[in-house]
Amino acid sequence: METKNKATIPYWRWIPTSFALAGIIVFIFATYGPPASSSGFVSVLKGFFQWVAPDYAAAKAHYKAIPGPGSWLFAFVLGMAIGGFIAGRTSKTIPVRDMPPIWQKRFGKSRVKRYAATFFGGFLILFGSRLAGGCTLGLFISGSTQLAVSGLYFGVVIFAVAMLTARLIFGKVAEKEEIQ
Amino acid sequence: MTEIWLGLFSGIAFGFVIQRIGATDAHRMARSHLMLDADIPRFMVTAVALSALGLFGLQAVGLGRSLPLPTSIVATGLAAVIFGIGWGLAGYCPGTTWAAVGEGRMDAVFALLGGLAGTALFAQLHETLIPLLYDPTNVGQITLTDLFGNHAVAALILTVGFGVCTWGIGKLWASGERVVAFERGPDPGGDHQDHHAHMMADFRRRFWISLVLTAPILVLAPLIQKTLGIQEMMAFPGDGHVQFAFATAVFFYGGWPFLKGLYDELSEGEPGMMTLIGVAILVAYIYSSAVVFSLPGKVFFWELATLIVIMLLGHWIEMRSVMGASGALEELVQLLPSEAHLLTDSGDTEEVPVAELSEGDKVLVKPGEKIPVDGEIAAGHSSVDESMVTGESIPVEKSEGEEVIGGSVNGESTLTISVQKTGDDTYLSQVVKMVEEAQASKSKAQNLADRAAFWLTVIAVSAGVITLAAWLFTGREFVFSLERMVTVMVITCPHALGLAVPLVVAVSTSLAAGQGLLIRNRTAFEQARSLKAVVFDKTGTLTEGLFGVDLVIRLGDETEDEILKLAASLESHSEHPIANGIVEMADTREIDYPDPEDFEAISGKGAKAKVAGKTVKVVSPGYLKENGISLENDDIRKARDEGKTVVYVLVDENPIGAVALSDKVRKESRDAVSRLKEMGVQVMMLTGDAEAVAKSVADDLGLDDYFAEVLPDEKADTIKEIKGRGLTVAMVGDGINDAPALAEADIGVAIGAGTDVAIETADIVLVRSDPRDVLAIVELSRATYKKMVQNLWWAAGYNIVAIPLAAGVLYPIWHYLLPPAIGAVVMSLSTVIVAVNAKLLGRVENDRSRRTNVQGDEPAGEGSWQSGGRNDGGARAGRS
Repeated sequence: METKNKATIPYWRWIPTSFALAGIIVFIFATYGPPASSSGFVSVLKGFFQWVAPDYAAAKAHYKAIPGPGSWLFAFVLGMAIGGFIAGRTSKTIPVRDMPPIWQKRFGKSRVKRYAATFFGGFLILFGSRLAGGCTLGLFISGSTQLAVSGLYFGVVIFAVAMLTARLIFGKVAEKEEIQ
Repeated sequence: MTEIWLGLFSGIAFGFVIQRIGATDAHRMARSHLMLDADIPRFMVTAVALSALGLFGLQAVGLGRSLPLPTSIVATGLAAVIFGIGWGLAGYCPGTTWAAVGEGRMDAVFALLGGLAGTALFAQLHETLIPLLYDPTNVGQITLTDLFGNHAVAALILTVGFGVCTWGIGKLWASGERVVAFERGPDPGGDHQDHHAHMMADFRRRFWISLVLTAPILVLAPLIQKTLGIQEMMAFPGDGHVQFAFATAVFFYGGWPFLKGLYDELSEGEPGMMTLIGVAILVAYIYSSAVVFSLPGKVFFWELATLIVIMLLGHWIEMRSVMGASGALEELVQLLPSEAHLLTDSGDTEEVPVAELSEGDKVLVKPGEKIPVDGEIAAGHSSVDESMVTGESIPVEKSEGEEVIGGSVNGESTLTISVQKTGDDTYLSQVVKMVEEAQASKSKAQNLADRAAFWLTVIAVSAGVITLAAWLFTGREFVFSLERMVTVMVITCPHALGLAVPLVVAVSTSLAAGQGLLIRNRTAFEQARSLKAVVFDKTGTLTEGLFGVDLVIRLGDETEDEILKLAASLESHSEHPIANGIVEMADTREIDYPDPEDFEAISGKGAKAKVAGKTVKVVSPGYLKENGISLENDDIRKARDEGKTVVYVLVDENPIGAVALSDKVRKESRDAVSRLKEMGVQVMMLTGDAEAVAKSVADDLGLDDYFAEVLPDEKADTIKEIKGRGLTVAMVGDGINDAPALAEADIGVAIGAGTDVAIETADIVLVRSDPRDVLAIVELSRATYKKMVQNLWWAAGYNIVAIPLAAGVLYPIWHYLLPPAIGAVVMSLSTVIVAVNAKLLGRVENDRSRRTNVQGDEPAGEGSWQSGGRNDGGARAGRS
């Protein structure tokens, strides 16, 4: 099984892709500064509140700290979505699916369940990111690249907790061969 | 401005790369977390190490800004735990969420929404939490440089440390290369079913994404703002451009299938639904865009967006309900084994692929094996089960010189076969070819919605042109006339039209499924309303495919019961259908029969055993002839003339009686036939059986017509002939040999126990083997059609009034133009009516809960008994 399917991996190989991503990160450091993506959420919300409730947006410290739409941060996350779109449309092999098969094996076909879970998961990752002041990209990658101890610390903990969570959630399914 | 472009460019590159590595795939992420796939963590760690080196280089030349990280150990730790739980649960992190949303993953859209909620909550609590958790004296900002005192050393240590991590991950995690097919989505070059599922998923994705994109358009639409009284609050300068941006996305992404459909339909010269929608959205979009950028007038963005969204919904619903049971014709070919035992000149056998066999080769077929090719028996004698090929359920005795068909199963002894036909020439390949040809020749019936759409397109375009011309002619300025024209053209494409038919289809398909009718081809099902003739395959459809005893004929002193007792005793050890019929009759008459001794089959001619000390035989007429026993009896002659199968009961070689059997007519058949005739449908029968058998069944049931002794490959021709009489024909059958006829008929109906190929070819599959279900098809088809017509009226009928008003017919007199708000209300109302009306189809159908008894006696197995009396009494003799 292991060697037979080697050729069918739809993803890029990790070594060249690491170089590609590092190149992009260095480019970002050179042209802007440390990249961040969770701040993009704040940018989006700031723009929204500036429109519907300008006073609120102006009053809250968190929105004051992050630039709104029309900033690099906003453009970056928008670009990520466009990049994902282009990549998704141009790849014939990488499956774009609304539900991870492993999730379906464990929790069934209910979309509501999956969407509720990702909504809640999204809530947690962003709440956590904002509390830490950065996410996988904004704290772990950016921070570690700058040799910040907090970035490394954050990286280690998030990996460990995510692994534990995944094991708790998918545990039984993971033991079976078919989720390979 | 440069900053924006740089951000956008960086984002696109970043999003592209993380998509390609699979970080946006929550499945792969979950596998990473479960240590089943090492690639993502290795990739992340390595990328960071390389970035750190790169940044070191940048800083050496005085580039590369870094920012202080405002964090503390407690806050970061707590945050990381919360983050980690979310990451493990959703499989997305903030960055990958954006890219995954761009890809079109629905669960990521919800992660994004959840993220926005989380962000909003944190921002709200910021003032409370930050002083609580952040300690300015904390060590959060320490870097490795601080620890090691030298930037270069620190960078090196990080790189080495991460290198070790990468190596460790590679060791500890399962190899990422163990990605099997399970990981992959539907193969783009897959079969038809995959394609259909793919299309459906595509419509579904487009619908949801367009729906999300439509929300801001609705919020910004002046009409809706005015209606809700929120104009003051919501409107802002330049909101038209924002609307334009969202509408552009909806138009190109959501509208793409319709634009493509418009092109396809026009290039095929068959304007239908896609043309109507395509024209409407094209006109609305181009005109509205022109208005945004200079032209005076009003924009149609919200009409455009909702039209696309509802049409996408309609297509999605329709596809979902149409996706029925389906397999593949190839299954038929898969009946053939791929290898054969070739007999070499030296007398040894050699395994060779079937494709390499050629005419004249000798192959060996061992007991229980499938016969690989069509050929002639060169040596050996065996019974051959041809049920999978011909539908004949009884193994046929074959010996030297007789032909065998590839795909049938050899019985008890080894056969040597001389290959006659290979590849495309074999019987099975021929059947496949016939089926394909018949399917291809099926005319593409214009369905109702397309026809309605065609006329609406004609009306839309001509009304638009007339409106424009009329206003210009009366001297109005071009801009005003153009606005009227666009209004008319947009209004003519009713939103409800997108749902009118799909909703009825969905309801009727689920109703049908509830009644045991699986509709595989909607067009054929819709045609069933005008059905003029039904052709039933006899065996297993009108009849049960099981033998029942009609008559016991006395030839000596023994009573009927005594004859049955001896015969049943002997036959109780046989699995033969005739034996079953006799035993069943004895049981019905409550005759006790003893266990036979020394049971033995007389190959192809019957069986013998010792019953109560006497040698009893039940044999075919062929046995009598061979053994010189002659019999003349009027009852026997009469039974044979009626197409019955007659077997003889012999005691010590003396005939004491005969039993006449025939294939039993189903109880439901009578009901079905009489009701179909009441509806004005001609009922006919098609069979390979002898004329006498066919006639007796036809007379019994009161059929309008029958076709006897039709060879399997002639069935399709018979259907063609009936079609030639100008009748809309349904064919009901179950076997592989029915497949071409099912495909040829206007409506091919496979009956439940049918073979896969019959089901594949059929338009409708009856789950139960009840001929009355054909009646249900016709009734449901008629009711469905009626609903569709009603719905089309509800969807488009208001146009009769709305179009002239929108065109401004009343304007010259009363200065009245159809207010857009009224138009919107009417449109929504008609959509609601259409939806409710479709649901009402269920009520009509409930009146028909009349199906009562007899579901238990369906024929077992996939084949059916097809030549009950072909050999007239010699049922056990092989067909030669």
